[in-house]
Amino acid sequence: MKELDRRSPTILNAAWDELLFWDGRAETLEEQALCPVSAKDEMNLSIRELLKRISNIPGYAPLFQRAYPSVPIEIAIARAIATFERTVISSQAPFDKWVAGDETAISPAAKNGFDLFNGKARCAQCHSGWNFTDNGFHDVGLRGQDRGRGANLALESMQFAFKTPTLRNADLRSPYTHDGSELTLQSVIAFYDRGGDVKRPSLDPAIVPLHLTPREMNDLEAFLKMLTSIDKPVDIPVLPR
Amino acid sequence: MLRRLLPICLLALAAGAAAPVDHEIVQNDRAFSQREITIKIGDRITFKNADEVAHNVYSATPGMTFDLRRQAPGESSAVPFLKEGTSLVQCAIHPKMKLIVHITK
Repeated sequence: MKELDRRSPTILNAAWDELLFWDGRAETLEEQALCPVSAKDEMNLSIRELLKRISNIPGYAPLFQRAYPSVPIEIAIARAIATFERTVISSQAPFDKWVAGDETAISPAAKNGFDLFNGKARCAQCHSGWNFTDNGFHDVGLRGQDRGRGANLALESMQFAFKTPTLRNADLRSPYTHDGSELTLQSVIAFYDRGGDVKRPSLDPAIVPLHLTPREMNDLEAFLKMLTSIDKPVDIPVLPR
Repeated sequence: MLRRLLPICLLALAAGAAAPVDHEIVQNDRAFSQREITIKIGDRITFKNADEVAHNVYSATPGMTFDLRRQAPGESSAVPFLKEGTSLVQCAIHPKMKLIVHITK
């Protein structure tokens, strides 16, 4: 398996996503689920071969029958993966406790960071709502020739546009951006502070130099870290034989 | 003024032509003001961006495609719908924004 041009987008809170993948080419988690299986640069496994392998494991048949009676196995596999993905949900973060009224849940620096997030730093223009994403597509001015959403939707605003990721648990998900070019939250903030790296017609108008002070950048980072929740670990399943 | 307009109105009635109607759909809080709208062939819809962020209203419905490009907050653009059928209008930037336009005779 070779290294891909794009980093894996998180599936955290994907249950609420409108379109899947960095370029939005899948409309449902069910449609998305089987794509990496057959992708040549990923698992490179034909669906026919996948079905053969699953069918050769006797333990799967009664499980699929119970969960998805009378559903063709290929559809059942996609539904099973998508159903699992919908259970990967962030829980309450310190930020949520603060919103609920606990003034001690986050630091004064993080509170100032939240003000910056919604104001001077313009983050909430795209990272909006409870999941800190507009589920939208934006060219934020990253270098590279990957046209992102523009490869599927030939509109000027969609060239070099990629899906806005959730910021929930972002502190745990380095590297950042679709190409993994930013290694830390600090470097992401610095990227946006300088107004991105490339100017072109598709660049989102929200991407402009922010002129943040070093202290403001630290406060923004402090706020972002308050979006990390302590989530229940995923139980590793015992695979059927 | 009424005397001047009357002959024109009578002429239109005599020809059986209904004047095109202008409708307005507002974009606010990353949503269209309506999810569906039914209009007549020849009517126009003005898409008004009353939001705090840019939008890109478009339709990829075959035979009814249009692209308003990026609309800054406060901007408006009108689109005539000249063909009978159903058009799916979306925002490219925010794909949850969808509007179904029924165009009737």
